[in-house]
Amino acid sequence: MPNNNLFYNAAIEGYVAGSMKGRVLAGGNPIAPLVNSGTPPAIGTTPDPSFAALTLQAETWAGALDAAIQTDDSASPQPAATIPTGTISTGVAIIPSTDATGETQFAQLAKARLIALASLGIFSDRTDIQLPGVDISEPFPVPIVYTARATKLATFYDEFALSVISGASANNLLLSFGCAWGGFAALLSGSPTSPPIDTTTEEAFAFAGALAVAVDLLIPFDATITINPSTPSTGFPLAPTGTPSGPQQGQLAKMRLMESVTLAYLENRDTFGLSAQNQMDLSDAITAFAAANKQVIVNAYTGLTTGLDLSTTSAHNNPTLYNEAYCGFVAAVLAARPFGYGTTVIVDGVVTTVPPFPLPSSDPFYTAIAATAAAFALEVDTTVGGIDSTAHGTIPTGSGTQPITVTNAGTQGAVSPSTGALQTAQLGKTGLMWGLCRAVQWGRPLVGNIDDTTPSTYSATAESLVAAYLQLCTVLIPS
Amino acid sequence: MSDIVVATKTPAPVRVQKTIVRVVTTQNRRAIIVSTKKAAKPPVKSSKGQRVTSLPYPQRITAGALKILERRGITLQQLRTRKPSTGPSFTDVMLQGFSDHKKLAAKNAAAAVSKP
Repeated sequence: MPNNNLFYNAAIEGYVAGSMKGRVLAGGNPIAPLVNSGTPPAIGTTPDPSFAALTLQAETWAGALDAAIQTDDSASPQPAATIPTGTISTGVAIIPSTDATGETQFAQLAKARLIALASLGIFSDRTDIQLPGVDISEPFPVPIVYTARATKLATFYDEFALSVISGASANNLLLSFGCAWGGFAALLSGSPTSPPIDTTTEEAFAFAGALAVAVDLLIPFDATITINPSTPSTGFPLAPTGTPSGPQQGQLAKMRLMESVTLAYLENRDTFGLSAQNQMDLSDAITAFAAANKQVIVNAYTGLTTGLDLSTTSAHNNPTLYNEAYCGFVAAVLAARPFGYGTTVIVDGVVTTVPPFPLPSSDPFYTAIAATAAAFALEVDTTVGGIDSTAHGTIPTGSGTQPITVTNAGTQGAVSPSTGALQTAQLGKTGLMWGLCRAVQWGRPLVGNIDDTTPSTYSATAESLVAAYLQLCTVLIPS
Repeated sequence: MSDIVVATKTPAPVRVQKTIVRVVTTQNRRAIIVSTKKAAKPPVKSSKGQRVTSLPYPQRITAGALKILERRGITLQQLRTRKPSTGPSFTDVMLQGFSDHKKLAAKNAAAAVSKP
C-alpha cells in the first residue's frame, strides 16, 4: 500500500513522460507501431515487450519515490504546514468534492503535479528501460533501483511544495501553479538528478515562480475553475462537484494547458546557468525575466484554450483524455521553439517589420496549432475505444480501474471525484495520457499542411500510445 | 571567499627564440653563434586578436578593471562573495506574490464598494 496514492500515480506519469520523450513507439522489421495483443479498450494478454518493460521500470520509480515521502495527511503534512492531500494511515486521497474551500483540490493538483513534472524533468531524455534479450521468453532484466534518486527528489519536493498553503492567494491558483510547475519541468529537463537545495537552485527556480505570479496577474479570475472572489479573493479552485463535474473537467484541462505552454516555452532555457555564474543578487533579473516573458505565456494559453473540450455534454468518448491528448500535443509541438513573437505587421496591405512583439492570442499561429492538436486528440479519443464509465465499463476492460467519465443522455463529461479512489484514478489516467502524448509527439515538425489537421494522420501513433496507455493503467493505484 | 584578488597588470612575457646561425670549431672548443629574435605570439587569440591567457587560481582582476566594474555598481566585496544569500528563493517569490495579490484584491474590493 503506497504512502500517497496520488503521488504514486504522479510518479508513473512523470517517469513515462520523461523517459519516453521523443520516442515514436514503433519498431520491428518492417517498422510498425508497437501494440499489444489486445484491441482497445481491452488490453491483450501479451503486451508488447517494450510496454511491459516500461511499466516495470515506471513502477520501480513510483515505489521508490513513494517510499521516500511519508503520508501527506493532516497529522503530518508533507512538507509541514502545507495543505494535506491524503488520509491518515491509508494514504488514500482525501475526498476533494466535499471540501467547499477548494483547498483539498488545490493541494492535490498542485502537489501531485509537482511530483509528476519534477519526475518528468529528471528522467527527460533518459531511458532506463531494459528490454529482454533476443529471446523474448527470457525473464526481464532486474529493474534499476532508484532509492538514491528518489531520496533526492523527495528533498526537492519538500522544499518546493512549501507554498501549497491555506494562505495562498492569486487570481487562479491552479493556473499560477501550473505555470510554475511547467517551468520546473523545463528547468529540470535533462538534469542527471534533482539538484541540491542550495542558493543556486533556489534562485534558478525563483525565475519560474516570478513568471507564475506575473502570468496569474494577467489572467482574470476564471469563474469556471475558481471560487467566486470575495474579499479578499484568494483564487482557490471550485470544489469538483456535479454530475458530470464541470469544475473538474475545466480545472484538469486548463491547469494542464498552462503547464504545457510554459514547459514548451522554457524548455532548453535553463536559468541554472544564470544563477550559478552570476555573483550578484538576481532579484532584478528575476523580475525582468517574468516581465519580459509573461505576455507570451498568457497569449499562448488564451489562444489555445479554444481547442479544449470544456463541455460536460461532450460527444467525445472521454473529454478528460481528449483534453490531455490536446495539451500533450501542444507541449510537444511547441517544445523548445522560440515561439510567441512576431516581427511583422500588415498595415493597409503593406508588410512592415517592427521590433519583436508577443503574438496576440488570436494570431493564426495559435489557431493552426489548436486545430492540429484537436485533430490529434480526436484520433486518440477514438482509439481509446470506449467510454471509461461505470455504465459502459471501465477502461482497460476488465482491469478493475476506477472510471473517469460519466454519461448523461448520450453525452459525456468528467466524473466528480466523490471518493479518494476516483480522484486518484482520474489524475493518474489523465496524467498518463498527457505524458504519453507529449512524449511521442515531441520533436515533430511544426504544422504545415492539410494532413496535420486530419485525424487519420495520427492513427498509427494513436494506436501505439493507447496500447501503452492501457498497459500502464493496470499499474496505477487503485487498479 | 577570497579567490579573487586585485593584481596589477603585468606585461606579457616576451619569449625569445634562439636560432643557430653558425658553428665555429677551433682547436679544442666549439663556438656557437646564435641569433635572438622575438618569438611569434601564441596561437590563442581573442576575437579582437589579443593574446589570451587563462587566469591561474586564484583569479585575478586588475585595478583598472575593478574601477570599471565599480562604475557599474559592482564592488570587490560582491565579487568575492560569489553567491549571497540575499537572492529570492522560489518560495520567497510565491509568498510575496500571495501577499501582493491579497493587497491588490483588498484595494480593488474597497474601490468597488466606494463606487456609487
